[in-house]
Amino acid sequence: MAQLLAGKTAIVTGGGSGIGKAIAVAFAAEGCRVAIAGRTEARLKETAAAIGKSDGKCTPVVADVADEGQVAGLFKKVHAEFGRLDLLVNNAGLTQGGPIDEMSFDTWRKVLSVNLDGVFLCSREAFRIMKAQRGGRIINIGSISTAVPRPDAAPYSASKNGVWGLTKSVSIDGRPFGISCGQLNPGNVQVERFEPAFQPGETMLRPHDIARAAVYMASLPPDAFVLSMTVMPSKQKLVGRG
Amino acid sequence: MGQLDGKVAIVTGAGTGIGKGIAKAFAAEGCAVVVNGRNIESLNQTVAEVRDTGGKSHAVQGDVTQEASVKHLFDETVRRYGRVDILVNNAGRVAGGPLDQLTLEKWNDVLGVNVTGVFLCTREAFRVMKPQGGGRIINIGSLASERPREDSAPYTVSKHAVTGLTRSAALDGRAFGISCGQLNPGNTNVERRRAAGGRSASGRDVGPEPLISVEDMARAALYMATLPPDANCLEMTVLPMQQVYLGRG
Repeated sequence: MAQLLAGKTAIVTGGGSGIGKAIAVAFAAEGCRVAIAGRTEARLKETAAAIGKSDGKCTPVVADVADEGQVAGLFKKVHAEFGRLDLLVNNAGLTQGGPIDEMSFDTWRKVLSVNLDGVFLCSREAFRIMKAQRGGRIINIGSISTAVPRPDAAPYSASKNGVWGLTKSVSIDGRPFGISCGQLNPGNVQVERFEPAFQPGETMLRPHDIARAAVYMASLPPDAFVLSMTVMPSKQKLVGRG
Repeated sequence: MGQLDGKVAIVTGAGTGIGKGIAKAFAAEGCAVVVNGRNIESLNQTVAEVRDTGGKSHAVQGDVTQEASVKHLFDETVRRYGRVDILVNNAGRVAGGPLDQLTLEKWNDVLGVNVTGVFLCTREAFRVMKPQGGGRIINIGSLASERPREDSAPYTVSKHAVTGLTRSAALDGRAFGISCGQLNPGNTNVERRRAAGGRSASGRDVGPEPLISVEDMARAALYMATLPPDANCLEMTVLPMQQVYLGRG
């Protein structure tokens, strides 16, 4: 069967673990050349090695998306190596929270800097490349917290609502240049790291099912895009009142 | 091996457009698809195209606004295939006009197909899916589920109501393993659109507009349908890149 992303290039931030890793693996399996960015070199190398073993192409780049200089360096390196950038997946994110009266300004700043500043910085760099090459696609990983918050998750919910604003702004600003921007909102996903917010008994999605959604978004022709989509465990509490 | 091997789906409004595209995409993945609509010739055409490529499909003529007709659709499907795993509520009507000139007949007509029809099919699906231990309902909404075009009150109201039904069915189905999600398409390259030169029939004429292919839209529905039973795509919105939608207007 023909590969859905043959000849394409992508950057996936937070690509060393969890959803980002699953997306990098799924993109590479569809013929996409992938660069993964993250702060932990060992995880990036592990993911890259796993992709390499199954004949995919993956370049690990150590970078903190909240750092302007490092983001510029990431895109410069990838552009130089790949020659173009078709896809950016803004996946890197932090989940930290707590009762609002006990929350340090530092926690707030940290979450906002990765989840929101990071998406801005990466989207800006991608825009600079994609405008010049006349097109590209940006996929932001939001959350069901964009629509409905958990308790004690103010910075996370605020950041993900901010991402939704950014998705829409980038989408409308990108339209004249053939740059599309859409958002994928996952519910609970089973990832490696411990999620203190999860309650006992909550059901989990597999990262692969989220990655398949991202593949669909990425594989649309340039003149079509997914603006938003929400994928969650069927039994996760969300649509009702609570 | 198909991604929907052994599954049984009902697709309403499957004689043309997005419904037909979804029926073909599901059948290509091994799903037995019962196609429903008012026009038997176009349903037979869909069935013939599915069978030509080795797929399983059967036509049941009917009107989603009629209680007895909807019951017959589900009875026939269960009689023939034994169960209903997936319902795609796709049948829809587009009509509009300046508010002061809208007839009650037009209003009732659009609301009848787009809202009452979805309710009647969803209710029947619940009656089958509850005892069988689960199932999936996919509602076809619209960009108009969120933002109206000018002169599209009946259509916009109906599609907003579909969002309400999607959420209610998702919530009420949770205890029974029934999931419900909504696919909101932008301008899609269907027969009606092509015949109108890309113009919309649901609101004020703004001339030809960019269109997305039926096949790409059907792939979205296929993703939704192929999720494991414990996962649900609650909503997704797919549109042409150049469609005027997101900004203020």
